Amino acid sequence: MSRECQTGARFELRDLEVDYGSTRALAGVSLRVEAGEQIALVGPSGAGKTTLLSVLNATVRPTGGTIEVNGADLTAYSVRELRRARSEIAFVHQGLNLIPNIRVLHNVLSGRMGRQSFLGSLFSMLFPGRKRVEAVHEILDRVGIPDKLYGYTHRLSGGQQQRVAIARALYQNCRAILADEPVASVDPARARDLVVLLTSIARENGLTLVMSLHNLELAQRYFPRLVGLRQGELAFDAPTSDVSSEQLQALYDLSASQVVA
Amino acid sequence: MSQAVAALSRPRGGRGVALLSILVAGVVAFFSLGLDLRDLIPDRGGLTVLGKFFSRALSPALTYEASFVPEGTQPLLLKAIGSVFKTVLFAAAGLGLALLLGVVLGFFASNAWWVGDVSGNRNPIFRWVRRSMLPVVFVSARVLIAVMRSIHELLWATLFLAAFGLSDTTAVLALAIPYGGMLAKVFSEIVDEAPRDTVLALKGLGASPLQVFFFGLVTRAAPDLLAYLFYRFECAVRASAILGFFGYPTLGYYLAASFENLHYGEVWTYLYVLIALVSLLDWWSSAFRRSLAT
Repeated sequence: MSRECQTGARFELRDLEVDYGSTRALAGVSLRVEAGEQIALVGPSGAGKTTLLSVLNATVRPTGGTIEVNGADLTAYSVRELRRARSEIAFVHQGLNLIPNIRVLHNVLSGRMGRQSFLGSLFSMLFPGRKRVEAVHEILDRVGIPDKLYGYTHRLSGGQQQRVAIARALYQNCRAILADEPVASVDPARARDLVVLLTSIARENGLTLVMSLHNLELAQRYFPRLVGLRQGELAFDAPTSDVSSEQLQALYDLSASQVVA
Repeated sequence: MSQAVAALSRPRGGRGVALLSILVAGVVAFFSLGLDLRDLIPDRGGLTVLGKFFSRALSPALTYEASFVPEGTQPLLLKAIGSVFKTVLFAAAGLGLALLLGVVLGFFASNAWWVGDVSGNRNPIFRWVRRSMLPVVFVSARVLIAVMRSIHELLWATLFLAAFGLSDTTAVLALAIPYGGMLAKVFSEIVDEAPRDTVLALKGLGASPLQVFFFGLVTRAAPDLLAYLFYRFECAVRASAILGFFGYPTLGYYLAASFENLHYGEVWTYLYVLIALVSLLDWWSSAFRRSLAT
């Protein structure tokens, strides 16, 4: 795994606000994520988990507040600098968001695109060369699908495709992995395997991992820190052992949400 | 009972209305043109021509029908195959050039690469340029495409023939211009309709707008693009054959000559070779599409 990230990314959000038109998606969120930390984002649908992850990935600009990645203020970045910042942060989507009708190898290779010119990326897709293919194979071996190197992506099962997405994230040479409900479309046993895979890969490589999860059980079992989001606001942010079941109950409680609304 | 049926019936949407109006338009046109099916009954002379022509359908000529064939003339079958080869060459050259035009113009004519998808730049000058210049590029690409494809390849050929005289280059150009327009239009539509999920993913890992467009959209749309390209190749082969009627050395040239000399056996020979070629292309393209689908 020579081609992976060495040091994790640090994130610092202060009074973050994100509006989509007149809808407030995030309000006054402050959060600190240390290098190499592993955090589970929990909360009901529409709480702002995806928006928060998109802000961390520099694809959504906050309407208020600041976001710093490794001490640098992203809100002051130009488009080119933002692209550079994105290339260091991998995103594993809820939908698979792979290119379906190409080989697994090429989907994984596309992970490096953010650091390449257009012609450079075209060249490395068409003529990957032995070294790149070996690097991809090594990563696929790590995520458990080494035999799928030349397989067509859309012919793989949902769980296998999610592993391709993880492989693409690893090949990206990132410093952090953000995962948005990465196990939403796989069965419970495979969901657990995928969470274990992501957390152990992040730990081995010192990557920061922020994952949103519907499944509270998985979040509590595999993550040392839980961040609860509700109605776009931070409900709690604490070590997993300190989060009480009342807090979790309140997070998903429908009647309470109506009161707040 | 009828009320119950009425309650169950689906509200009539735009599709039903469109279908109905096309039918009505057809009937109206039929009567306003004063079409008479009796026109299809041939007179005595026409009947003899028809009879002579179709009597050779099962006995196409294997050698020339002319009483005098100059020394050194290619055997008929070789000439037929050679002219089909020429026909394919013209079609391939025309479509190759059209593909180039189609990809470039299709890129500028598609919504996908610039509407909202370019990462939000805060630089006001950049924003102003984007907002004022890109619509100009977009609209001129669309207008150019419309002009290219609304003029039929035979009209382009006539025009070029008048302007430049008979040359193989003008034949290729006459094919390439309308086909380039068609490819550009269809390419831009296919690309615009491709799902955007991969766009999101590629943007997220720092890809540039050009990379996002090419790898996220064009790659996803590639099977549809290729299928359409195959279909267009078939059309180009037929058009290229017809260009022979204008004097270009494709199948149509020999077909027209034999027809004028009343050598119907030769006409059938050329027709069968053309049919064989089109069927072959059809088989090839469907086999190719199958291999993409599975």
